Amino acid sequence: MADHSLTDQAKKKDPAVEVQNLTVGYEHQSILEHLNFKIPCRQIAAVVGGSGCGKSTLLKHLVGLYEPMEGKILIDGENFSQASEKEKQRIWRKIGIAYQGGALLRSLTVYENTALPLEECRRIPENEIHDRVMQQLALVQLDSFASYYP
Amino acid sequence: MVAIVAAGRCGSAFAAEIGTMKIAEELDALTTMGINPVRFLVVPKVIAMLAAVPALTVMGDVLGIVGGLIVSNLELAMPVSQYMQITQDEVSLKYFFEGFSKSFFFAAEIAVVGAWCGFNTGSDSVAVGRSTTKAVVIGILLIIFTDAVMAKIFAVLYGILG
Repeated sequence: MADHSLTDQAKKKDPAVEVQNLTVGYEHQSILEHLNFKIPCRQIAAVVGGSGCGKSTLLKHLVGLYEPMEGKILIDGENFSQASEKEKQRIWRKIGIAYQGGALLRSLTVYENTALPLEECRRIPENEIHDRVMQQLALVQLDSFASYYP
Repeated sequence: MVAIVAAGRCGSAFAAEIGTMKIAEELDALTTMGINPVRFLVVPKVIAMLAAVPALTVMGDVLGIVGGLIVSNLELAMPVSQYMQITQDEVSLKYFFEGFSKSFFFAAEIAVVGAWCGFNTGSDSVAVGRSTTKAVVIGILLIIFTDAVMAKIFAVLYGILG
């Protein structure tokens, strides 16, 4: 979650993520049934289980990539599972996902990959994007690799 | 001919590129960044194909005539002037425009079919191979079908216009 959301959420003391009676699966085959849990703000939660038990399926539903068969997913109190496409776009901007394989676009450089969400989703001047991207890359000591491809 | 070559080269490349991106979760990453993968990946490909295929079609037309000239001159000993005269008499401008206008439809079909096959790729690396094959086969079939339909439409149009 972005910092400003965490602050707002911490003030409200509501869970950052809340799952109510969630059933997920593919087509007509349910994989996880009637899940209920809350993840409070500023708390680290881990989903642990054997291969094929539905960890990735649950996470993909939590971030709105798939529609649940039943139940609700609340992100910052907003029902993500029934949000319109426009509302989903807004909620997605508050979520950061680190994929197992990186999921970086191979046709773009490290700089372009980092700048992509800022260029596509926010109306930010180019020089500000440059400053922010270089600042973030410097944080992880990747600024000297900005022009490299993943 | 140009469209069939483009379907083999570009349709398969689009399907492979998008299919590989799907397996590498790059499409999911785009979605969760709030970027529409269709707008981000398909629209530029359609625009590029709409520019490239008609240009290649014109090039193909010119090279076809030049190829015919070389073969008729070397194999049939036909004088260049005679070949050019026959070409001018037999190949009217309407045939050029017919082929040129069809190329826009072919271009859009190749890009959309390639992208569609890529987006519908399964979850393993073998699925990428299947998608590329499917993109080429469906692309070529659609080109043949569209060509037949448009040939009929042009025949009717020529009939109306005399």
